[in-house]
Amino acid sequence: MSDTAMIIDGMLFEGCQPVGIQIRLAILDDEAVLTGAGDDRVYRTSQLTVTPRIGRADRFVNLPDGAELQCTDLPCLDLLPSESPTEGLVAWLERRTLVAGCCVVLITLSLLCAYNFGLPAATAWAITKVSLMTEQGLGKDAFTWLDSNQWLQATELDETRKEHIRTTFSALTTGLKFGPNYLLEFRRSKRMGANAIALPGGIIVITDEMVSLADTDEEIAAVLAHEIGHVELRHALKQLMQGSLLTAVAGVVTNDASSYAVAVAGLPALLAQTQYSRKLESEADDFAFALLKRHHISPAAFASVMEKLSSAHAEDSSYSFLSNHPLTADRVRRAREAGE
Amino acid sequence: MPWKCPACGAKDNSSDLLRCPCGYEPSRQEDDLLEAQNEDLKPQIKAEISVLPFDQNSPVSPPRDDIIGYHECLIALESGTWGCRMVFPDSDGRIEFGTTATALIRFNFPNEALLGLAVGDTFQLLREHLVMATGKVTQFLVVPIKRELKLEYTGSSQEYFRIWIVNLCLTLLTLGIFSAWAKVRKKRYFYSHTILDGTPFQYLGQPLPILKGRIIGATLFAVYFLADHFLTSLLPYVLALGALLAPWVIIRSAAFRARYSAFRNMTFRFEGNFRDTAKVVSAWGVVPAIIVGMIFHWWQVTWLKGVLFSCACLMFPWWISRFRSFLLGQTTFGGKNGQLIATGGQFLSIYVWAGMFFALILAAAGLVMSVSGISKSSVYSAALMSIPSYVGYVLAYAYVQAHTGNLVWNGTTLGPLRFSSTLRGLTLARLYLTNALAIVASAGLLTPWAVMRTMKYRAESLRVWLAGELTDFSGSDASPVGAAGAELGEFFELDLSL
Repeated sequence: MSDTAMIIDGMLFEGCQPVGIQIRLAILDDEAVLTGAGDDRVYRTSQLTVTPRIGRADRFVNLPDGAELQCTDLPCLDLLPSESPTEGLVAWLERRTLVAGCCVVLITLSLLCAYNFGLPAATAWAITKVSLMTEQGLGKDAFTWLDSNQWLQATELDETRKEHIRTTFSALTTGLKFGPNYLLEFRRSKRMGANAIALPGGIIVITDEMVSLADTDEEIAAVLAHEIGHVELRHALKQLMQGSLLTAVAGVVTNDASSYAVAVAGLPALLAQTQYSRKLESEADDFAFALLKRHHISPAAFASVMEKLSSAHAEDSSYSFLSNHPLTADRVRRAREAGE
Repeated sequence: MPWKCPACGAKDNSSDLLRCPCGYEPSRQEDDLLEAQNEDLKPQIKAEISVLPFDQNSPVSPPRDDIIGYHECLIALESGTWGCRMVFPDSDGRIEFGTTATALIRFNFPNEALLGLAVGDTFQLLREHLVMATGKVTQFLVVPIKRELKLEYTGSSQEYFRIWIVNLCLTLLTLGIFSAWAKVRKKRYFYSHTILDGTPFQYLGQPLPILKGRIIGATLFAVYFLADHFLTSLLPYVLALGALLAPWVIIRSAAFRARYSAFRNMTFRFEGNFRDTAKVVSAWGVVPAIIVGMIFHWWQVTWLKGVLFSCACLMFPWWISRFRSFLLGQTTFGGKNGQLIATGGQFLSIYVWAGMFFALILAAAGLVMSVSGISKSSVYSAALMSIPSYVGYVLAYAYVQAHTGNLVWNGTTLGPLRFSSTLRGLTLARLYLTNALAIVASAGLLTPWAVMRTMKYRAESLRVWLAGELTDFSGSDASPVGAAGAELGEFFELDLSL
């Protein structure tokens, strides 16, 4: 045996029973000789394959006759053909601390980019692919669902009051992109209290509680303008898509954490989602302020109705219009500024 | 004489055949045990392990040198005996008697102290109780343990951190395509660092088939997602289709997992077919009823909804025990089928205890809140309440995980292998809570550490015993299994692990 011989000691598993035999495999150029298991066996080196390196675990050399050799991870094993060649480079990267450091930086950067630019851009693009018809269908489905699941009850407002609000509403919506599709619905809601919801496609629901909370027509117009903003900017669709994309990305990132630390894996997606919702709210606010000004209504009306909601909320937690509309003080301030 | 199969619970088996459609065959398994032991134990030992005529006065032979303990006791009852349940005072062991005839009853010794200690006394006690309970025992077998197969987990946090971060980074940069490689690398790491009797397990899955499977799985998941969010009217039909597909997904997931897991150059196998799996999954017709109900809008009727829902809840423990038994019974290694003996009642008691812990913690938190006089509507009260509910939830979850884990492992046999698992709910809950804190505080960077310490604890709690010889396993050919079913299962977070 010459100096260039490669000696691998290990356990041989033939594959018929889970018991091993201590053997030695000597590799010299293109010939591999196995000794220790009965008669010597000779293989061609090119017919051997080795499992990829992983951590410091033992590796396996597959022999052409189906047997397998378990041995400690020797550097010379890399000279044999790999069982899974695509994993070789990854295995190399995984051994380097510097690479791990670079990966931390890269992951942080790519997540920041995805959050700030990637996701919004992808959502904006995806929205253009959804037809108005589909969006309206979604809104109708959602409305039927709300009606049939005790979220909404029939309104108790009198006809003149409703007609009055409808006139304001149609004045606000004329000339908008969704113009003819807008539909105002009146409902009473024990569960939601003073609230107004914009469903995708143009259905806007205002609750009796909200109508009675607002003292002036301007305040009702302000609330409606905010909801019109949500519809006009297709926020429901945006939120749905952003939510799905976020869940997908968060699923990839927190995959490991989910099974070893109960429930914290959902946190990043939840935080990002809240952050996105706030952004959507202020977009709708800005839209509303511009719309109100165009109709010669001061955005200050929005500020006053927000304050009323806020104080109502402090008394009774069923006023949930605010729960997904955080930072009320900030929004009131912006409305006042817009009004000046 | 009809008897009830302990493996799948099916009744009405004819006694001439003594074989259940699920493949369980009491007489064959007994013979296997006897054969396995007879090979090495030689004639003088045969007397002890072969069928013992039941005699209250004859003591069980004391442990011998080559036997380090006893794992279980197999008792055959005379046909037609009425039974009862007994709990032994000095162990966690339980014995269950059914109205079964000639059924084997296995008595496990999960309590480590019982292995090798006071075995004679325990058997004597067992025999006395048996007399009280039934009067007639026709067979009394004990399974001697000769060796422990050392199970260790040698993964390290630093090493796994590098693997985790590199694979996560590449997955993000390739928009998810690399995830197939990442999965293989991680699985390889876990398997290769789980060492049984000096040999690591092997993960044989290859990235490219997994990628293909992932693409198919992702497409089907997208259909489900669209139906769920956009085409709600189609959802019941998609769910019905999904229900038809579910047995297939389960079979393929189990088959993939088994086929690409190897120990000592031998792969596991899963033999379940569509019909049997569908029968088990349908949960005695409740699942199909729920889906048909969704299609025809039965849910609008409140009482029907209530009846179906409570039906599903009540039968869940029995269903899960049947499902687990089925999965294990269809899994083979070296020609030997796994076998699980665990009853729905045992699962039920775990869930009931867990539910009670959770309720108690919430009640205690509520009491403290009302005594301390914090107003209910204040923001602080919500925050204060959410902490005990999280802790309570984690405790209940960890309790269920630990105790179902113990129940399943302790009741599992695979050829000559016996297992004893001593997971503790509190330890697991502490691990989960500290993991959660560490992960949040480190912005996720301590995730690999959390994974490694939890896996280490689980491996440390599990011991593997050899009753017989490893040569009882003998190899069989393996054919490739597609990855699509397994990957689809993963999207729906299907968990078939023990």
